[in-house]
Amino acid sequence: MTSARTAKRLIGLVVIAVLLAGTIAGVRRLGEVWRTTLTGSTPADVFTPTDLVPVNGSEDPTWRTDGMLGRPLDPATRAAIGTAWVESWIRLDAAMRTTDTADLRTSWSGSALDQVTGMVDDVPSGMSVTGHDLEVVVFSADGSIAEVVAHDLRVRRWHTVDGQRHEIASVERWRAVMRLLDGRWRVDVIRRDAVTP
Amino acid sequence: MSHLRTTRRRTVAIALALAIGAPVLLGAADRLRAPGDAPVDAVVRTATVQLVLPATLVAGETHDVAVTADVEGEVPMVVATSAGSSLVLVDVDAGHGTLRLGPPLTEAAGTLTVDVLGDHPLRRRTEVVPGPPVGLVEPLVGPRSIVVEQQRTMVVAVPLDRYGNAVPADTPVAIAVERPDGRIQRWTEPTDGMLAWSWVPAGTVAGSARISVAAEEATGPDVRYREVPDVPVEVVVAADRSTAQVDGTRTVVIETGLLEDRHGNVLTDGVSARVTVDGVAGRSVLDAAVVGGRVRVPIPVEEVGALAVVVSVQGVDSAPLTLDATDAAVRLPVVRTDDTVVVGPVLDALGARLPDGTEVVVDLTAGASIHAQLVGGVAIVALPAGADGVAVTVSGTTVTP
Repeated sequence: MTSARTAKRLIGLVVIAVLLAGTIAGVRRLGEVWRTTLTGSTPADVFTPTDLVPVNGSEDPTWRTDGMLGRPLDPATRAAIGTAWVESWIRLDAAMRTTDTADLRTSWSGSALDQVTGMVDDVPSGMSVTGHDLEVVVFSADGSIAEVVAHDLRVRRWHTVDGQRHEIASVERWRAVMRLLDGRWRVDVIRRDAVTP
Repeated sequence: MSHLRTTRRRTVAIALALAIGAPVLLGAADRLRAPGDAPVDAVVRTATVQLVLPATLVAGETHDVAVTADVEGEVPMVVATSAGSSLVLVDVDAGHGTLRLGPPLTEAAGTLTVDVLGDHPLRRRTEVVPGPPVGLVEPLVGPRSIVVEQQRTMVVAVPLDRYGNAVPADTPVAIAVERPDGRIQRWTEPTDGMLAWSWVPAGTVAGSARISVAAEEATGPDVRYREVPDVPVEVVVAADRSTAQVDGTRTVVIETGLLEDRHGNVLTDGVSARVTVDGVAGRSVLDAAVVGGRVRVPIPVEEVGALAVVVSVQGVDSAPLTLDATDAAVRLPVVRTDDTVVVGPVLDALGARLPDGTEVVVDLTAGASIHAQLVGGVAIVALPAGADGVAVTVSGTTVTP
């Protein structure tokens, strides 16, 4: 009789332990379901330091010797092209971080806009581009089209996997056709020409 | 006994609830994870991955890349292209997996890289080659107005493949220009970099021209531009009369001959001109424009004496045209009373009354002047009290009553 009572107590203790463990696990999972459903972010995301100001910054590009120019490239136009180029990367980075592509058309147009818009994922990611060393290889006679080569861009891309941020760095050469549309230079066609290492 | 049965049932029920509920909750949480939250951290840290990309891919092509890894589970990779980058999780089973490179990853031409994330990072690259030009290729032409034989415009074409990539270098772009005289010229320029461009020098005939471009099957609309006349060979100016009466209202209309450049192109409407008039009162400059190939402008005649008129068009000056401005009033009756002066009717050489508005100036001996205008060839001017002698001047003729 005593052994049966002891056995019952042991079983009761086991049941209580299982109940407690199950309750804790259940609450934890419920919390994760709740959090994932409503926010899509993880605690790691929340506590991972991120740049308040895009790391691309408003860097002034450097310029290599011009190529074929249909007309002289005056300093104001050169500055406008350089600023537009840098801003196009800042806007792409912002779109990748926020997954909101609405602002891309301020700096991108034509097929380049379609391509970068299509590649912005639902999952936040980002890229920073620095070291803008530009060369205008073609500049149209009416001053509305420029083909630009960006040499040795320092590119860092990041993606988050299981709350952990992974960064990839490379040095790249890009080529773009930029057009003056509605008073603003925009990247109209773009190609990543080379990647090192 | 009943109490014991109830307790057992409760225990069984709770155990069943936990056995069923916990896995359901775990599964729900996993299903709601976004790809970036996938539980692959262990794989990321430890995986050693091998994969080989093809040397080239054609834009839009799908290619399955064999992946080998020393772990099981999902291996995260970042595929970066000209259009951006995407996180891809490759399922590895029994050490083997497949990375599918297809649209949209392969739509953007240029260098495509695959970076395996983790403690053993690996980068592989391939070239995505653009496809042939298709669809619309629009000639981008500027400037849209060039001077015949002197200037040139530029046509730029950016042929694209079906995914919006600039086509490969050396793709021939056919350029066709229809000149204002109807002649059609054709030539080919290869793409260099991302575009093809060519100078288009102006011909010798002014008028509207148009350009079209084509790259293989890609065609587009024509774009028009103008080849405008050069500077006129000479500017010949004449007036509708050689003499003019200075009556304050009349003008001399001067007009140039037909303004043509050295190729016989008539200057287009709107070309600006400048008319310089040197007279007794000094120099005045009038702005004018070419209309119908000529400059035509009325010049007011305000002072008696010689006028010299020069018309300048695009830096070419006419020879001075000399005009003679003469007195208009040949008969100027003036009647003085105590407090008024009655002028008129004032007649010109033709015997006609001078037009309304012709200025009348009454100079008082005291030094003051009174200005009035003819109405119906007559003016009645009230004199101030105590006015002494007066002199009346109309259109250069002065009478002292």
